[in-house]
Amino acid sequence: MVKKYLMLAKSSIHLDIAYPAWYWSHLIVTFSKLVLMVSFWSAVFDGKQLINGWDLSSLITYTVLSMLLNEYVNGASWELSNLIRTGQISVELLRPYDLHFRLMAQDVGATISNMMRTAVPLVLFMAFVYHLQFPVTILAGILFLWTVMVAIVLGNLIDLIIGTMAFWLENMWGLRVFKAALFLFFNGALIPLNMFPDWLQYLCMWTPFPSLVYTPVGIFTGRIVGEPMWIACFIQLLWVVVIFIVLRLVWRVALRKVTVFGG
Amino acid sequence: MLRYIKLYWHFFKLRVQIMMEYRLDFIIGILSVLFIQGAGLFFVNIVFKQIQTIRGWSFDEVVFIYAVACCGRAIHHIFFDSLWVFGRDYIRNGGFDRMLVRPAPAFFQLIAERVQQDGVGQLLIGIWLLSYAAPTIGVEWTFVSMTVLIILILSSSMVFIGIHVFTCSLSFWMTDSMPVQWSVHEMSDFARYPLVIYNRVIQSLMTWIIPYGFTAFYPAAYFLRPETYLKMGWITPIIGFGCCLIGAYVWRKGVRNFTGTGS
Repeated sequence: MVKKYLMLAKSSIHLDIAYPAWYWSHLIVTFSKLVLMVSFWSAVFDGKQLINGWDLSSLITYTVLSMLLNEYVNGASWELSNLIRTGQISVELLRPYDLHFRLMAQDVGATISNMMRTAVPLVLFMAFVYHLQFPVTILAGILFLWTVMVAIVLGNLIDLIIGTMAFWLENMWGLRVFKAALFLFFNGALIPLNMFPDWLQYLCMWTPFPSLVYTPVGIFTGRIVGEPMWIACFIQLLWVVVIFIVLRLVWRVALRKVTVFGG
Repeated sequence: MLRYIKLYWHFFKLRVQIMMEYRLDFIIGILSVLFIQGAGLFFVNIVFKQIQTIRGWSFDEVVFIYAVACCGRAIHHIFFDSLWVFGRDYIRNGGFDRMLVRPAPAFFQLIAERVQQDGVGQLLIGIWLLSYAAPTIGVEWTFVSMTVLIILILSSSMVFIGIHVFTCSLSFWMTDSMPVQWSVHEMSDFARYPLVIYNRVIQSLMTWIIPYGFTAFYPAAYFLRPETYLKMGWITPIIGFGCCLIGAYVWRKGVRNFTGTGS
């Protein structure tokens, strides 16, 4: 049962390796974005010791990790919307797997492969040049890895909901840009959420976005400790369940449209 | 010339008709760009709650730089969007061969085929920001300053266009240059902040190698710090023309070199 999804995940690793041009451009773009943000924060500090409880070193660590993680908390909306637009979806639905799980398995495979080849070297490089910090405790390090995995699954589920919108929308580019902006801003990748004004922090707490980036990286950099840390982990899992249910409901409504069109 | 204007107008009307068919998409496209620009600004705003200036540049000045970037970028986004998909949609499937036999320059056909409504949101936010920031930083709206500003914004978009035509033309040799286009284009993010916050390598890269510095920082600095940046302001149009000339040269070379993919 699980085996076929594992095989699918593995096949997408091969695919990920098969496009060197995209790999290099992705690496260059990610690297230059990191340099941009690090330069920006360094200029902002300019001799100051603390800003909003952050020192430069931990903020740089936060920025590097959160921007990288933000690259990986999305999923297969592109494939899904293409399947829908081209009508291939009707064939896919007949195949002996759950389409959502298949797309997720493939995306997770690609994500892991890409992390190993992009994020890990970049983190090592940045650690060497900018002296990134280690996780505050061993527990924080372990929980960081766990919450990253949950965040990738959660990001995938949200992305599949976006992809399903192709049943109703033509301009997927716009929707994806919108989603990317929403993510970047509210998951804490651009700026740590505890720098937000209070009302906005409060608003964010009611969305799944902080679970994607702020929770893992906040734990890593010691911004979320003690009881709130466990609560944050629990909330993250809760969002996975909620978004999964939403995805299935939206999907069911959308599929009715397929039958209306006669496939 | 008149013939091409008429022809473009004809294509333009067709595009608008298509847009009106997909009204929801139209709104999403504009909102998405508005939102992403808004998020970037909000980020700067939050940072400036903590500090007064960044390397001597105030919030309003950074907004002004941002605004110039928005306008220049928007013109490129609205009218030259088809460059992005040139490799994928024209070279790879042989669509370009068809263009070569039609009685109009291929480049004109490519550009006329698409008008990207999403850029309109960007243009609006740029103009709005200009009108917000200009009075606070002591730029007076006279006929002369308006004319100079418009010329500089047009030059800014010419830098965008020239560089993009250059990277797009690489498709003639590598079939689909989208990864290259994307990674070069993303570098333009550096120019949204005062270039002085970066180290010398990045500064000279953004000035002389990939001259995105002239898309926002130098034109804006011409107004903000005329003592230091007068010359850089004056050469902005020259750089804009230069980029377009180089882009056009590579495009021509590519067309002459073009043999088709055989599809």
